[in-house]
Amino acid sequence: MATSQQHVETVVTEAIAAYLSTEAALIRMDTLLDDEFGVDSTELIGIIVEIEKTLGISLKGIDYAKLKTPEDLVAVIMAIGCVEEPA
Amino acid sequence: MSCEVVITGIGVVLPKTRSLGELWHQAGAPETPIERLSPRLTGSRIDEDSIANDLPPRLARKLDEFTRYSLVATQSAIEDAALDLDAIDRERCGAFVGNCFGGWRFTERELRHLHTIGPRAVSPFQATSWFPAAPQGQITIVNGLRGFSKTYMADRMSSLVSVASAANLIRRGQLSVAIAGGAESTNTDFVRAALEKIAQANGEPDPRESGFQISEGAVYLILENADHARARGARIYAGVQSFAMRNVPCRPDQYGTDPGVLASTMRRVLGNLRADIVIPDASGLARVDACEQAALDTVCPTVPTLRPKETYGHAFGAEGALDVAFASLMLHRQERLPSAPPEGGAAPSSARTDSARDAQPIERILINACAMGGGAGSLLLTKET
Repeated sequence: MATSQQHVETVVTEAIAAYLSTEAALIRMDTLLDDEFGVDSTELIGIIVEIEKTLGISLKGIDYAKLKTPEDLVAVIMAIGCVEEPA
Repeated sequence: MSCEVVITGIGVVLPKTRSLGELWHQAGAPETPIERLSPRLTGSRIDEDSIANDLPPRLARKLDEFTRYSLVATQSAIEDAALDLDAIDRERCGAFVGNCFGGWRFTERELRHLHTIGPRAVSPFQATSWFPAAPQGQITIVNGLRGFSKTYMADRMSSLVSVASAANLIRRGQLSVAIAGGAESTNTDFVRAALEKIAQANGEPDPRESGFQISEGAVYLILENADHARARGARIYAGVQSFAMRNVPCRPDQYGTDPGVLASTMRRVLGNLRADIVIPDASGLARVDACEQAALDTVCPTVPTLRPKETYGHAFGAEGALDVAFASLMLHRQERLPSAPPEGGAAPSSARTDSARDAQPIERILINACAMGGGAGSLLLTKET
């Protein structure tokens, strides 16, 4: 489980960094996406879709308004509980 | 004479053209960027690598090409005008955009995603990237403009209308400064498919031989209240004198062929004045150009014409502003554009060409533009003294 969470954290961080054209090292788990990076709701959807594609999951139906930090994203993904480990 | 509204900055993003020096010299260059774009269409297109590093990737990803061209051309215009946005009242500065087709490059790609992968593969920015007012929104957001702003869709007249509308609001005292012009991206399958029909709809028997050529890009101008411009010591290219437009409806895929319509807009902007140069609509469609020629013979029978748009082809939303840019440069330099008929391209339109290289001062330039569905407009620019 710890490995899965680490993998998800990496995917989430890299998706955010790629979408914002910034370095992954600048993204902390408690980074406030709106306040610190100016992520708007449309960009958040794009980030979520990238994460879905990478992890092969669906995040339809989650409450996007509650996703303030990468940590929030990781939590909802782990709650789904169907993330496969990379080979 | 004193003009109320003046042009103080010009920015362009056009095929093989990023600077005003390139714009001027391209007009007289023996080799044009015109190429065959499809079996039934010729024209020019932008090499997108030329602006690849001009916008932050995070922003560029959200935008269709026509908005990217707009932001880059707008920045060039602001720099050319040496306009310090922090020093002006942004409540009295607006953006005026002409556009015809919106963002089909973005839309085509996302439609392919939709039909080959599924709805979740469609970019969330589809909704905000395609619509014709997208450049207006981005120009105002990026530059923090809060004044009245508007987007106009009137085929190849679009940015003549946007420039005239901006000038009108400045003249009425509602704005002090405006960023006005237009943009188009035509290098897409959907847009090309639509444009391939135009020549035939307007009486050209063989579209491959038609003079109707297309282009793309963005042209923006900085318009200012003349006193505002003089107070900050701005270089003034030209004055925006008057504008008139009429619409006598015809089929939506055809241009009007009543010379009286264009003649009336020309008469209205000229009044008792005489133009020194006319930049005609010059559609490249024989029937439509014959109509314009008849109007020119009636209103401006001895005035030389220049058709710099032949260098690139029709830039639709950017076309009127491009003619305004050419006219502004001529009025400022007091020099006629170099003209070299394109070799190997389509035959020139029937609108009269005149080398017009005499040494007379250039006081006024009249610009014509037409729109499918029966629209016609004329704008008069004057030398600023």
